Amino acid sequence: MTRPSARLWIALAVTAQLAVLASMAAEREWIFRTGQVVYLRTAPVDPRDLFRGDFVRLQYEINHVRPEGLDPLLAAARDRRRHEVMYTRLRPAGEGLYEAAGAGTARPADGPFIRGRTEDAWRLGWRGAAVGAVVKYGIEQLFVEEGAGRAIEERRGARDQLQVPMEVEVALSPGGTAVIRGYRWSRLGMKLEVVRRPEPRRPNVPQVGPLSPKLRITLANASDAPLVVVDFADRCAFHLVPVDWGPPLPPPVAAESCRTAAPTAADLITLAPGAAHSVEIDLVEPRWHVLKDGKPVEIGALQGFAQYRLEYRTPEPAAPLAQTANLWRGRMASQSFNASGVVD
Amino acid sequence: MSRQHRWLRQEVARWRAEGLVDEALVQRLLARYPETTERGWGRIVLSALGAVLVGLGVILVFAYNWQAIPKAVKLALAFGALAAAHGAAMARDRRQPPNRALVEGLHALGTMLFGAAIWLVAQIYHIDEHYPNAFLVWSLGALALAWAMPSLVQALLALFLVAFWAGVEVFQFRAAMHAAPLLVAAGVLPLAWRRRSPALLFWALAVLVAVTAFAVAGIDFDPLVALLYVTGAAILIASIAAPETSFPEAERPLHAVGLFVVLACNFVLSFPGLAGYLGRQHFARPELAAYLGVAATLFAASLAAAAWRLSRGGWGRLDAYRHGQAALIAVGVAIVAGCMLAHVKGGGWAVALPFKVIGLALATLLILEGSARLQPRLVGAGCLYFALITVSRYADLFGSLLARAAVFVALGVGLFLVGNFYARNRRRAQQVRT
Repeated sequence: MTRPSARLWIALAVTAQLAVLASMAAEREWIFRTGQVVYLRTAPVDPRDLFRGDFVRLQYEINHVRPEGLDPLLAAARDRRRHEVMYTRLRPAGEGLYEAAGAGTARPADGPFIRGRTEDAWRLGWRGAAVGAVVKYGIEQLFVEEGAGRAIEERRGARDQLQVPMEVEVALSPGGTAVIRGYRWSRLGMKLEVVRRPEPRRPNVPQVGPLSPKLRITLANASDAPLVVVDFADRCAFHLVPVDWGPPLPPPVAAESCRTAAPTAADLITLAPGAAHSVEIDLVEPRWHVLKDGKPVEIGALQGFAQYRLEYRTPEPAAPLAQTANLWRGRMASQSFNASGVVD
Repeated sequence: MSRQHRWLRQEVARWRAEGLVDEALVQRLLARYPETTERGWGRIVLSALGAVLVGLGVILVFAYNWQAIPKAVKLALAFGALAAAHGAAMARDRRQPPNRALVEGLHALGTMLFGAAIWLVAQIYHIDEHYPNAFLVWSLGALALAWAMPSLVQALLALFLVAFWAGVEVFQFRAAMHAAPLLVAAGVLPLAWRRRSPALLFWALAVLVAVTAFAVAGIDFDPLVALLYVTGAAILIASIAAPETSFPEAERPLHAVGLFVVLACNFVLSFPGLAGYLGRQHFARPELAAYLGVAATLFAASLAAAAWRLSRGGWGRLDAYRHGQAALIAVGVAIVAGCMLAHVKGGGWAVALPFKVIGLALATLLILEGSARLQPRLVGAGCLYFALITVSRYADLFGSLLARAAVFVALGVGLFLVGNFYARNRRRAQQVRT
């Protein structure tokens, strides 16, 4: 039999174990109940945890902080530590979603921000060019009932199907600690198809025919209510966006036709639940050229493995958009693709 | 009661009955070999294994992650199971007759449930934090109980978790965890000493060496072998002074761990290419300088303790083998220190050859000591070292197949002779006994 004094120590040790658990749960529960709620867009993948049933691994748009989003002093730094604390400032991006407005190691004085840690040593691209930081916020796993992870994947959509982004509801503490409260699905889905691929490139053989692919973008109403999207002028709601994995890619030429164009009531497209609106975009056309060495060229004329996305953006609120009910307000990017028409 | 203590009690009772010793001497003899509170390894392993399996089962039950269970109920289950296991252990501890194994098992189950609950809370709140931290928190929970009870099972669990934590940090996250060696040195070694537990001392020393290696490797691989050589030497030489302390049983774990570390490092340094690492700059980083400083201090302290033990006399003929090992290893440490301080670049055979000689001499001394003391583990360690040296040099040391064959035949004959030598010593000892 244990001595009475030892029993007291055992009781204290057991109490300490319970206290550790209680503090873990209490902190998260407090944030869950009182934290500022934001929605963050994700692209989930579905692994399986042997000990914990299913969990969906979430990859947020804010996980990758682009170099121009980093504080200037940080962007220049080369020898950064792994798992360094980072604060990513958030700003509204429409539809209740928030996007990264910048990141740094100093805690912001105000505004919504989320606290994370750099996942890798700071990534350096080819020729030492900084390509930003990969930051994890401790909310990259969503535990679900066994078997439900697959259903989430199906709802999200596969590579060649309509894809509907998951939007995770997150509560933020004043210090930036994030707790997942739940999730919802975007009201708008997007599908990218390659209508025409250019001829494969061959060394020392002049390429015949168009150099760049022709794409079809489909916007679909993934909600249970009517949804309004905008398609005006010269496809001015759609934008070509470079995907920078290394040195910055040539930026798209600002389309003259879109500089002064504004949507009218005729450009508003109301989609019934499940309905879709498709547009075809031929990247050969000057409207989609990029600026290389001061000259506009189509992306098929670029050397290397340049990747781009097409992004749908609701134009800035102006009549008649400001008063439009059920208008989807935000931006949504397609999967990345390259000049050969290979979709990531 | 251990087999050895049972034998001692029977023998002493016989001596008392035959009038060889009086009652006072009997009591002094028995007091010289106090019984540790450790139970048999089988029971310890079984109770710990049972707790581990039940804990894993509970984790898997939660893995269903049944959405219908409200969050509060899940938390209540996690907290309740933990409290129930520890509570049952404490309640059983108050009842007669005592059942130490059951109490230990229930507390071990409680600590397993503590680990499970950390993950369950993480699951409930979708926490995806730096996961090795969970192992650190879990190990601290086990260590607290190891001291409070005190318990060998909890201490071993804490050691395993600390080693896992430090290993994951360095191999997956390239982070050197300097707290790990401190945790073992300050949290577990004193407990092993306090409980006079050779088993816990053995595992604490082994994990201490491992987590120190992890921490150093997390900074720089180059000084690793040198640091481990000095650390292993300090541990082995400390075993000479152990019989004069209040914990004489510490001699065996100190010798076993120190010997393993020194032989492994000696083996590495017997290769010219690897010996060249000794001369590289090791003091550039303050953390490395601190590790090397601590190892050198421990080595000096061990030498001083061993010298004190030798100056007191009273050591037997068989102890000379141990002293010979210590002297060889001290020479090895001197070479290591010399290469490091003089920044000997390359080194090659000039450095590797002395380590080769030291290794072979150590192996010979181990075989002789093991045969004299009738300890097969020492004989086995010496033979294994010889065999490793022969096999590792198969490709590059010998020019012809004939030379290789001759060396293998010599090794085989050597092992055969060692076996016979050991058997003869054993027969002699039996004859003396009868």
